[in-house]
Amino acid sequence: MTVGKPEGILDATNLEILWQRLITIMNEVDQMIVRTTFSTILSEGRDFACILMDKTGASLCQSVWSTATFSVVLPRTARKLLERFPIDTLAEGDVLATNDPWIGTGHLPDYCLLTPVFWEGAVIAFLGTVSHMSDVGGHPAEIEGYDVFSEGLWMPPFKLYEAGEENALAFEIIGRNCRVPDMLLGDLRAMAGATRVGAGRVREFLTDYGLEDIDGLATEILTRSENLMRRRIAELPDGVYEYGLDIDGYIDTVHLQVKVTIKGEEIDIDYSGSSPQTRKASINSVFNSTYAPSTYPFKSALAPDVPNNEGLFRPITVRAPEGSILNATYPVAVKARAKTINNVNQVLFGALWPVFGERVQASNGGIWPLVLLGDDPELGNFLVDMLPHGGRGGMPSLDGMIPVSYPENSTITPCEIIETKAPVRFRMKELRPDSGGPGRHRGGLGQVIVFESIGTDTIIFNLTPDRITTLPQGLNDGQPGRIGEVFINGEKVLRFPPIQLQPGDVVELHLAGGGGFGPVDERAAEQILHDLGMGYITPAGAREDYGFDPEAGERR
Amino acid sequence: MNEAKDPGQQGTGAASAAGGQGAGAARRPGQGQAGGAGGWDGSGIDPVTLDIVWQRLITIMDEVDLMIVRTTFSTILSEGRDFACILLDETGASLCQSVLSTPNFSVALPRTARKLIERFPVDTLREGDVLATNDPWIGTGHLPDYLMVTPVFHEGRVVAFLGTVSHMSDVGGHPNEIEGYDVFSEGLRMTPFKLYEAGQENSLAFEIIGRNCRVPDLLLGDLRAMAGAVKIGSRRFREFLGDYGLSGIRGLSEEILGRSERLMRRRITELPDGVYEFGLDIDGYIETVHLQVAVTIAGDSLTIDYDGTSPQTRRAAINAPYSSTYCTSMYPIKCALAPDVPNNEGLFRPITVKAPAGSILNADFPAPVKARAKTTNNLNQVIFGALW
Repeated sequence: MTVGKPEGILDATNLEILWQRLITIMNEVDQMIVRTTFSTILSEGRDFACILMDKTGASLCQSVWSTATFSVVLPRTARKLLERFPIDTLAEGDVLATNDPWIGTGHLPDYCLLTPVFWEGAVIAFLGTVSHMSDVGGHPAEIEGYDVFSEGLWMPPFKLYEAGEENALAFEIIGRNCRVPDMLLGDLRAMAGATRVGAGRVREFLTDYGLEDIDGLATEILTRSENLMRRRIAELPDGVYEYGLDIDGYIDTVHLQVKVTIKGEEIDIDYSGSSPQTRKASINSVFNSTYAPSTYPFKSALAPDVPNNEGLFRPITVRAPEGSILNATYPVAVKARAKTINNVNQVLFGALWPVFGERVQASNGGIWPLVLLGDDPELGNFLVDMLPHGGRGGMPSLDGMIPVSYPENSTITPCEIIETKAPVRFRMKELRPDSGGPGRHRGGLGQVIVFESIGTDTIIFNLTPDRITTLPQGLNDGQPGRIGEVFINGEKVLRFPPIQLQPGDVVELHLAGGGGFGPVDERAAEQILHDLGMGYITPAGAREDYGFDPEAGERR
Repeated sequence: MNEAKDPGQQGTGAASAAGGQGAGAARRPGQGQAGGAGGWDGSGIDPVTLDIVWQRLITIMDEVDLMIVRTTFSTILSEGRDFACILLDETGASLCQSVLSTPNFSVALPRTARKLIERFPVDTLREGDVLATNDPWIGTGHLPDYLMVTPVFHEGRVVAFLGTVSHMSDVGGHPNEIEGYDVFSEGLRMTPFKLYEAGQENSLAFEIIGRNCRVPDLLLGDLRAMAGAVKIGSRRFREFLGDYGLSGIRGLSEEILGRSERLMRRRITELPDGVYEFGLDIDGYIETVHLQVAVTIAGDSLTIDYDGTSPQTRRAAINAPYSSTYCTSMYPIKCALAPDVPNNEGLFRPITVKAPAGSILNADFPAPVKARAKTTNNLNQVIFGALW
């Protein structure tokens, strides 16, 4: 099929064919990354994204598995990289990169890479990747931290490759400032290599369709997407919707406050009234990392059927007061900013449930990233991670989901993989009965994970738990989910510096459940009986949370 | 017991043999003053001229020193004087330093210089290059110390190096001093690199160093001040070569190193042979640390062996890489036996320092080392305890 150079309007059918082909290219890049990376966080955890951008840096599509928020951020990063290295100075084989938190995704472990795609001597597009690296040096603490300088190596915008050659100094510095240089350098090379293959595929695409560039196609994608989003927003009733939510923070509780203004075909999100940034913990979010999880819920709710691209976000503005925990200023600590921003969708849904209808869910049990690292006589220098989740919030028409990844779409490293790479044995990983918030639609269950250190030496254990001091709230009179708890050898733990696990130590994680949606007394008796039968609630839970007599099979 | 697996240390024995041979070479006094003999490199210089020439070199280093004090931005350099500037010959051996240079740094730098030259061989260097590193295991034992080595060109070839070591105000990393689990937490680690390439700032290096520092103006300003002062020092050194009609300093260097070595060997010979031992408990951190030394005096050489010292620890940043143990062990001996001779590497050739690998005095990568001075500052006490 030859469509010629798209000038003006591409018809919808051709557009869809071309667009899907581009997504397929990104899926191939994605697959190649999974198969060639060295670290579990990329190969098993899928904490990365690969994105196609036009020559201005606007995103056109991504691989279907790409982490949602990364895809929203990368175009912003790309433009900063192109400010530093203007497009007409680039050479074939260049790869631009940075892990600057204020330019990239908000913390140092995420490396953003940008590869220009050359066609007939000029840059016609960019392939970008964002990936969470296993280690970038810095203190081993996750939550505790005073400033960003403690958090590892900061690489300002630089060329990782120059005209196809590795930048020797950059590779050397990055490797020397990392505890697992083989993983980090291997992952960087895997990312760059995959985008190189992707660039070749984009050129094949241009050849197959007889295109000189993708400018017309990009305009079509971005404009159609923007128009669609504007129509969907216009369908919502105008108004100002507000919500406030207390979240764990660290040491001090943090308050998130939002005011969403829907006016015509535009949305304004304003976080005025949120807590100030803190020097007590690395839970501060830079603007980029607030922007992405703020816009993404709207994409999911209003345009779930359209491939992710930057046109969708044009009608939405995000504002957060400078110096607040959602627009933190250099050089505060930001390593665990996810602990704050993973809650942003809950604040937005709290504000918008009256108009979003089916498309919201109550608060959830959070993400509990855990990292185990150390030296082992048999396993060598190891570092593994897992991103287990609490239960998801109840929805207007459904119970909350069990612990699946949310709001990110990373996957959960299997226990078996971790056991092959670190000296630990998992004793339990199961659903946590009675942890889902009661309501017309019950919150999803949290989970219990128990593991034991079986090595011969100390292991460093880092955990960033959530919802251990504040409840996952329900919506529309639904009840909160059960709070999370952490025990080591039976002792409750509330502070999370790097923990030194000794051989034989047993760690118990009780992840919180999601909040319920709707009043408890509206939950049907057969659903309560079903939950009892499945073991989602216990007889005691049925009595206390639902006023339900399990023996009689009815409400008392 | 393990001898430190350090090429620099193993080189000591070989270098001393070479130095000894060089000392006996034939010479014609007065050739230096004549100045007309093209190609003369200072070999066989008479003692009076040697002292005049040597003092001239020290004066050059004093000028570099003063310039650093006047142009640096941080108080730790301008007021605290936590730096050294040293003249090295083309092999990296130290010949002299500014009189106010920190003694340990002067002992460390030649070892570092040889590692830098290994990475960037002499014949690949260009005028205006500045080599640098803050690697604890190559340098002085912790990240805040940046070591810089600048080749001095004369008639198209490298005839000497000017080196500086300076303690920087901040290199990132956690704000703790003593507490620490590994070196990765302690700041940016720059393995051997070119800070300047043919006179041009290495923009990526400057950018990375600045970005990973709480006070980039101080740190980058100090690095530039160091490099600038050394540039002036190079000019003065070439003036010196011109004034004395020297084509290089290979012969002069052999004189300085050979005479110094022979002096130190005589002074050691005057001491009674024997094995002198001492053990000392010091603070450490959380756990007390034990330092144990056996000093063996045998003829004209002296061996310091720390076998029996506590192992390295992951609980605190008080571990010393071998280089910092070497420096702080060497210097008390220099002070006691040759206080009258300008500091140069010939003095250290008769002395061997051994510390078991994995001990707190020869810590392996990546142990935390930021506060290694808390341990090494006690070494002179152990040595004096054994030798009083």
